[in-house]
Amino acid sequence: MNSDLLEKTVPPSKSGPTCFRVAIVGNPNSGKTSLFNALTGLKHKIGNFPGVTVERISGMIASPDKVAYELIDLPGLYSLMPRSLDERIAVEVLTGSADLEPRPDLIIVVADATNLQRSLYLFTQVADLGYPIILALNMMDLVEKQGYRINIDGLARRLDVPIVPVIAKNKKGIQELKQAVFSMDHTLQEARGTSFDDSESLELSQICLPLMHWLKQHGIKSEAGAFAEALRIVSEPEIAEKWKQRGDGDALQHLVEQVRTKFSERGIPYRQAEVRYRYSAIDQICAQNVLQERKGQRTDVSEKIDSVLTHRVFGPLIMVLILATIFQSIYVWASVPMDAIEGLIAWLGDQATAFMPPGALRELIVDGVIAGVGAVLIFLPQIVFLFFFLAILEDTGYLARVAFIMDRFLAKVGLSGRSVVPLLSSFACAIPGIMAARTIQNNKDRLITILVAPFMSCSARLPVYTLMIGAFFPDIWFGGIFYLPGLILLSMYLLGVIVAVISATILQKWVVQGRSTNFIMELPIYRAPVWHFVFVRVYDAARLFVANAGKIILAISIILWFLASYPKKQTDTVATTPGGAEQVENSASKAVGKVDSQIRQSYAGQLGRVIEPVIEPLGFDWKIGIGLITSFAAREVIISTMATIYNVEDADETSIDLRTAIKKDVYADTGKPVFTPLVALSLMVFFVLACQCMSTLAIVRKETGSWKWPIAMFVYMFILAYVASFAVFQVGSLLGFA
Amino acid sequence: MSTFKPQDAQSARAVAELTLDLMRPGEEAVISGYHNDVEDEALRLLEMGLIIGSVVRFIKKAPFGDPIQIRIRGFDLSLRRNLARSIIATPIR
Ligand SMILES: Nc1nc2c(ncn2[C@@H]2O[C@H](COP(=O)(O)OP(=O)(O)OP(=O)(O)O)[C@@H](O)[C@H]2O)c(=O)[nH]1
Ligand SMILES: [Mg+2]
Repeated sequence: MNSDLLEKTVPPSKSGPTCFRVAIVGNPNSGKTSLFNALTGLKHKIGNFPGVTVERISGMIASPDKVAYELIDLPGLYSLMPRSLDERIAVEVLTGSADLEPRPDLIIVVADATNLQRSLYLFTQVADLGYPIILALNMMDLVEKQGYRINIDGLARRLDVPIVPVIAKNKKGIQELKQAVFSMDHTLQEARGTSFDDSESLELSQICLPLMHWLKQHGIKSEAGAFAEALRIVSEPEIAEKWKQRGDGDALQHLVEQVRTKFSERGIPYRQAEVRYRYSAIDQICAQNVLQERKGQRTDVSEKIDSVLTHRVFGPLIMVLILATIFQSIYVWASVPMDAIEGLIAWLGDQATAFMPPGALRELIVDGVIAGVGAVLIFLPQIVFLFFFLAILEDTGYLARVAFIMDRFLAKVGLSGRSVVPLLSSFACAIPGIMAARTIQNNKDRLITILVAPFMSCSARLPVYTLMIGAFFPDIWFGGIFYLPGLILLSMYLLGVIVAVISATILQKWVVQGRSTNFIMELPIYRAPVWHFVFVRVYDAARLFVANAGKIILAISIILWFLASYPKKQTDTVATTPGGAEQVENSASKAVGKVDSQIRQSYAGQLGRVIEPVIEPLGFDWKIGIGLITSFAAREVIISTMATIYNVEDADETSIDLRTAIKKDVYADTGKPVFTPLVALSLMVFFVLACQCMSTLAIVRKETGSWKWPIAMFVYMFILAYVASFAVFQVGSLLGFA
Repeated sequence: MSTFKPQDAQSARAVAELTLDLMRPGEEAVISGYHNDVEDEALRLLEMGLIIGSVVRFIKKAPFGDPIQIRIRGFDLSLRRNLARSIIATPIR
């Protein structure tokens, strides 16, 4: 028994000696996370494109006995030679170089059974690391459909591992796989590399003998392991460097040179040595164990769909149409449930007013909590629609096609199709978008993508756009197709995209150094969305949005209510008489001057007046200014802030909805409206461009490893936002739109 | 520039060779070598199975001409033309 493994049988894990650590490894998009979810009951993100998972995820498998099993899901790998950050994370867990954790005790290699050859390439590499392995053959449903048969017993014998066929998507074979995991740990076998007996492998191993000898002297135990490592050292200078640092470097260098020369004599470029050796063995294995019974290709249907979706003319047209339809429908369709929620919240405010005794507490509840939190909750349907559409794009495989189509354009600004997923996910939220940039191999590309991702309008900006557009731009249809509010919304998104493109160009020319990039990406077959998981994704986004409203926004609304209500003006204690709507409206407009002075001398008003001179050139009054400050906690907070301020200001006891309030608001001195379409536009432009999100700055710090970039990002985005809003408002005023 | 051709393929090589970027939609070819001893990026292609002797099928160009889509070992891959240019193949008729 391999002594290295014996030590591992009782791992020094913090969860005690009876916790086994099982890692899931496999090609990108092979269904690892689907399998992880099926085994643990968790609901992590899946999607039909390579590079969905970009970090290490862990969960527990419920086991019948006392032993605990920790399951670790990892980013996808094509080989153990990492090229991008997500791949590096996976390889480090596997090779035990991740500082914080011991090596896993068992590996489940997930192979896409419709893509067996490429899956086995990674499998053989992992096997050579000496781990006990279970091979999970996933997507068995497609194997049958495509008309071939895999001789599983034959394959298991040949590869010398237990094989469990599964359909992760439908949770088929999960019990069997669990059983294999449970029984595996009790009968830990000897570590073995894959021994290949085809002639090419034998020839190569002959050449490598001296190097293998050296490696065995320096810690590698098995024959197969030494051969595999020898090939890696010969193929990859980086690996050779690592070994050299362990001493005896000159001798190693000499051996490596010697092997390389011998390879060249046989006509094998040394960098290809490992690949050729493994594939020649794999081809032989597959020829013996995979039987094509009927005609049929995994790619047939997809090719037909692609003949439309990536068609020379229709492809780009359809792409634009899909994206435009999504944004338009977010606006149009979501308005129905939004009106319903708005009505519900107004009703709630009225109920509170009717049943609570008058006083500060009632004001706090009605003007602070219900008005503030309610104003944000109204936008929940839009969040739901946006995440629903994005989930469908991700699940069908269309995102990879967008990357395929857009690569040409992105190449012009120095990026590649690889940036499509990070940038498109940023329409939901910049944080997962920025993390998705881990899949970009080229460092320069990756940094630029991270720096421009926050220009994509995230879901937190959507409420601000909707509020402004709904209040100040009329519902006009042009020719029955184009809808003015929809078009304005779309142009806000486009503004972000255009600024991102320009910034990327500037960054890659003058700021970020590095080699230019290339583009290699697998195009997965189209799949039907897994509706259950689409639902989970939408539900999670909605839950987060509501939870946020219940925490941050609630807290800020309460604080703001105090800041806006105190100190009370001593003389003015007369409350308006409660009455019908008309009467309220009258008294409100009559009382404007008086009440305004009450709120203007409150703490919030004082603060607002301090910053008013700075934002006045952008067309903003002090209330918007307070909203801009609080929106740095989260963008949508500006809405709850303004709702609270207006409700405190509107001294009568009914809650007013924000849209009506901002339409009616006038400057106390001049009587001119505070908001005009131009002010609304200026405010929206500010929100498109400014980086008002602490979490984004924190994640940029984490992903780039220094404060330099987040600080630079904050400053340039802020300056850009200020200048652009300034230009919009001043130029607009000159043209007479004020 | 070094062009690698394996011994066994030498005799069968009567047909004109071309590089991947020059193939036509629907055309199939056997990979026979690489220009400019494989670079880092192309090594990833090797790992994905684009090795000498593998059959590639050219599917199409992207709508704006670049990248291209090829099929290898049963899955589809897109790569830029400048990379495809360094892979030599012999068309199958
Ligand atoms: N037909 C079929 N599809 C499956 C099966 N298992 C997973 N899928 C689909 O395959 C796609 C990829 O699944 P994921 O679980 O995200 O794959 P992954 O290996 O975690 O991908 P990365 O995180 O990108 O490396 C999704 O669209 C799944 O719905 C299966 O057994 N059969
Ligand atoms: Mg995954």
